[in-house]
Amino acid sequence: MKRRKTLRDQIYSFLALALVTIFLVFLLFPIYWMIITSFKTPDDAMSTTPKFIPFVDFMPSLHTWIDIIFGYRYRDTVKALFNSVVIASVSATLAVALGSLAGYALSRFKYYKWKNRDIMGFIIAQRMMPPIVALVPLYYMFSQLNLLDTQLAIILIHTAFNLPLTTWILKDFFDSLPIEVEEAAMIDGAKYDILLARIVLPLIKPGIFATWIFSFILSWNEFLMVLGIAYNNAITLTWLVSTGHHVRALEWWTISAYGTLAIVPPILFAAVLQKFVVKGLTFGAVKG
Amino acid sequence: MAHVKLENISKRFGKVVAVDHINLEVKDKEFIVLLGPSGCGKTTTLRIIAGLEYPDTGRVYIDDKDVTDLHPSDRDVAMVFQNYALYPHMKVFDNIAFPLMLRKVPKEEIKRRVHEVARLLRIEEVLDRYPSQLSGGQQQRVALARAIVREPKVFLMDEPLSNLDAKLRVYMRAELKKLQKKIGVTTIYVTHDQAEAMTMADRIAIMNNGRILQIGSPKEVYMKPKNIFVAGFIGSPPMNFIEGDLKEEEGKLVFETAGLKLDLTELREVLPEKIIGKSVIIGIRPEDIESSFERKEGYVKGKIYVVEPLGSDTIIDAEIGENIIKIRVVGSVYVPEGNPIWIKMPLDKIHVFDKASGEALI
Repeated sequence: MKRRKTLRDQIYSFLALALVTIFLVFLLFPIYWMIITSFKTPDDAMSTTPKFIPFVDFMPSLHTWIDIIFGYRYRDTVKALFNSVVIASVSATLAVALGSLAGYALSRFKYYKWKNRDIMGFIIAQRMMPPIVALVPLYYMFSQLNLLDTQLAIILIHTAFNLPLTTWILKDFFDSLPIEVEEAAMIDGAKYDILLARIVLPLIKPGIFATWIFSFILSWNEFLMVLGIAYNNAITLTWLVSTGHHVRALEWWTISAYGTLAIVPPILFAAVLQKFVVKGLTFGAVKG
Repeated sequence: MAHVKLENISKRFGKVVAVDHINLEVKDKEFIVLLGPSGCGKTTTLRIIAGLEYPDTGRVYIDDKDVTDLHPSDRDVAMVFQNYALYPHMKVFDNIAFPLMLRKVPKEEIKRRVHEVARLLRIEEVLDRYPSQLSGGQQQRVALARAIVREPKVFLMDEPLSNLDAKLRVYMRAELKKLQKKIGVTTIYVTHDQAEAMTMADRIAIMNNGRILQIGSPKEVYMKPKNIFVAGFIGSPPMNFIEGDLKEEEGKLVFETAGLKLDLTELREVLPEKIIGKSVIIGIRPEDIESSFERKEGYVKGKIYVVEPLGSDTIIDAEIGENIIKIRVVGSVYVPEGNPIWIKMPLDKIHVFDKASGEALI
């Protein structure tokens, strides 16, 4: 039965809508501002009266975009975009591959000398240290290995940084699987390799995807280590955004254009991620 | 196809002793039921046989081969879990085919064998579905099919019927029994339901506190329980127990308790001498008690306390002295509570237990 809306209900729903609107403006305005700035001419961008609405306050111009895509910045853009994609996807894949093995072991085996809880603690402790503490030792290490300014160095660093998170997240997914399904598979004749490949990993596929995307985005957005290790060959989009900080002045339009370019892939992934977060695959595995 | 032997098996979980030095031999093609209350160690015993737990002491043999150190996948046993444990991401066909696929059976033969068991268990029409789209009874049969299709040496079943509704459970009980006889695979079946055990088993092993208290055919454990636990666990409603003293009175052997005196002189021959003068517990099954609503020679008078008609028969709770005794009467009987009843306990149906040890004396 549908209840008639009273005045109070209407006030409440209006308030809720207002709150959501304020929150969304707060959240989306910076992104909007970044996108329109990337279409402004330097004069419009530096104007002392803010210009909010394209075609009304200012005439959009493709000047910056042409610069970064076809112009003198073309090489840097392509290199950084390529590096960002390669570094983020390889490090995410490594972090998920290693993290799933570690997470499975921590979820299903019992360790005695150092208990599972201790090991979990050691692993996450790595994230408690401010990353910048590691930068100088890492710089020295990679310079000794002749790996400065290489994609490999950044891939290794990002993998190491994201591994604790992927281990923890994936362990949680493994914990949620009913153990009987694995036991049944073992009795049916599966050893651990088949068990993982045919039963366990397919069952947490949504978790694997979500963790991969999460790890990808963390790597994609990481700036500090890239700044420290890369200067030419291994630069990423985040590095490039910062180069808008020019000797002459802050080139807000360039920063905005690179920023816009940098947020597109994570947004696309986030849209895909939603589909995978939907659980229900394991539903019906066990009864009772 | 195979016999199973457990030798001195023990298993602890922390301070809890789950299985306490168990010895058990299961013959080829036998259907043996491990029966006991929850926490008695029956499931742990089964998991040790499957290889899912490693025993603290003892060895497991299948066909005289020591399998204690083998991985579950190398033991050639099949198990049906209480919650079925189907692979939720595989269709029913692939669920059943999975063990065959791991054994690298040729595709054509897998297809043939899966369809064969599916026909046997009448799940042919659901082979294309996912487990979550099946009813409980169908899931249960898929789990069975997955176990049968492999033609393993031993079937292990962990309360496979307990998630089904009462009607389906009774039906599947008979089906399972028929199936086991048909394919003739040694089966070890765990349950806490004594009706399942009585109807399906060739032999029942009754467990409590990690020990096997008695192994025998359903008839044996019903007729000749070795101790008071077995006597109380088998049978529904359970056996009546009356505590009292066994004494010598004017040349007669009598059992005496508050408000009830029984002449057990005829049993003197079979009862051990040393028990006379000690406390004992007398047990008699509700269905073995003779009763009458009129005074009869040699009957003891009591008062009807509660009447529970079940349709085919009726359970009467009668107050005899200070004891409440359950009596099973054939047919539907409606008598008012508080009415008198006369009962007789035939001496050949009486069980006598030592109160101190709980062991059966006769």
